[in-house]
Amino acid sequence: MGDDPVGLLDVLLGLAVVGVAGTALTARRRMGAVVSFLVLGVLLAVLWSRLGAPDVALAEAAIGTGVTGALFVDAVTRGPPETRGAPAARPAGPVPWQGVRAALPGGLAAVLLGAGLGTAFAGAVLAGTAPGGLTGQVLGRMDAAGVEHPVSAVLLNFRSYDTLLEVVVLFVAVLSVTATLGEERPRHAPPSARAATLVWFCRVLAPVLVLVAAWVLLAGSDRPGGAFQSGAVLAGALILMDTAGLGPGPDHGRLLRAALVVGPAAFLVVAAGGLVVEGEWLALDPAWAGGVIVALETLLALSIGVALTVVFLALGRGRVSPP
Amino acid sequence: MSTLEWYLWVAAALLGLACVRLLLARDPLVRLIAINVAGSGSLLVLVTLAARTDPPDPVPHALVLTGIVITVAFTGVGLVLLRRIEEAAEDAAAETAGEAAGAPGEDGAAGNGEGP
Amino acid sequence: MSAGLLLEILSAVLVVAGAGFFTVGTVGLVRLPDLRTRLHALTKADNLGLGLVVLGLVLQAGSVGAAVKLLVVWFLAMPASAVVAHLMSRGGGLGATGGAAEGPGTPGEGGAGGR
Repeated sequence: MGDDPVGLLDVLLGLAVVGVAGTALTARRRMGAVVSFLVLGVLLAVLWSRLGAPDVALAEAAIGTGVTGALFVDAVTRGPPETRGAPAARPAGPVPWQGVRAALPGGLAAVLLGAGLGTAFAGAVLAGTAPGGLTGQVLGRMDAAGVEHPVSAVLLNFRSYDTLLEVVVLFVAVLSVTATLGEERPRHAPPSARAATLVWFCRVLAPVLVLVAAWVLLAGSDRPGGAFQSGAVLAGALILMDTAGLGPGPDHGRLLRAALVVGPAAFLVVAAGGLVVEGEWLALDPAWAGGVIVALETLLALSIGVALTVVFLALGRGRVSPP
Repeated sequence: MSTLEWYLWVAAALLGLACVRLLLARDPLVRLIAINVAGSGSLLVLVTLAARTDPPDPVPHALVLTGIVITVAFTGVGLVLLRRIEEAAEDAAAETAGEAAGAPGEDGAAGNGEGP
Repeated sequence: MSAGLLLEILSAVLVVAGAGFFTVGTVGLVRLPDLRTRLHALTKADNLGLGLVVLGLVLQAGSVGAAVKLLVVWFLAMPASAVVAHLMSRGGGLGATGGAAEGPGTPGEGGAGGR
């Protein structure tokens, strides 16, 4: 792909991404910005697929658009009504010169910054420093990896230290979020009674989503998928159940705490196990690397799903029995 | 211009737009969106550089996956903090409204320095 | 005309027709005056558009498994959009419990089921 001249699809996709990002960043009311952000996420998922990164596209659709979108929408609908209501009156006239003049310094700065960065990036590509990257090295070691999909092998075997720290970051985020829990806040608009349709839909769909999550998890061994995307689908199922009133409540605190901890704890056990057996932190013997990775991914997916759900619930719910 | 170079320019545009907006916007929510967009721009650079080989380089893809998860983590924390700030403001506004409507003899409503 | 070429043309026609339906739905979203009329346009046009796109892709799918997964995407998107439309038209919209948080369900399964 590196030397082909850019095609129409790529030009349109790139322009669409920049345009929607501009709309998301300059919208006058919050809900418009958030909706544009959701559209941006979908376009980015298409973009990742176009660049040959289906794992990233899955993660962007599930985590970047799904969970982040749910968080943003929930934050906006719980926010003060005046921030998301009708925008302020525009100045009269066909072209709002006041608005344009106010936006000029920012726009100029954005153009300069973008041009500078673009020249720097394009120069790096044209200079062609090490175009091979690490592909050769990774593919050369795949038989010792335990899984057949290169990205999963990198995530959970070759660079598992990064993944361990990433899981810890998520864990710390959950801790900082639950440290700020207060009493339950009602929404600004009185909620309608829980529609029977929604409850039925959630009852029917939640098992399907759990099945999809399990499939994405197990597919990560030899094709795009993996623990993070699976965890995000699981979080989606739990958030959906929460909107129907069927989700985790205050008396599920102990269960949630256990589910949150089991992922990072299992990862630490595997890491220490590597230290004991192989003499190296996080080392995996190729003989049982496959089984260990699958088991670890399962527990990780559970923890990630619960962690994302707890962050969502903490936005407005009351006590979720903080860990 | 090759495909990869075009996408690098797209990423630069995203980064420039989002960083400026991050510094100039007033609403914290818009700033959070700006951080997300800037993050997407930098991840686009990584994925584009990974696409130079065929099959694409898996290491930057793994880095990008990690980046997406960390982005959602700190966006969640940011949004919860935003909600707490707004809730505190609402409570303060409700308190002053309550005090204004309450009995005038309630001098001790502030309550500071009353106890040891 | 070989069967392969015929299949490709048919699949292209279906996908373009699906895109046309999506465009019609979007025009309805932008131009119609009321929430309910907009939902009407969106659910009907977008479901049919998605169905046509999926059918066009099924013709080009490499295996039965991939074709089934594409159809699962369609079959999951349809009830999701129907339920969301129902909740929104029930007097929900902004601020109701159900309408806002429908996000995580569909993109996750849409992304996962598309393999």
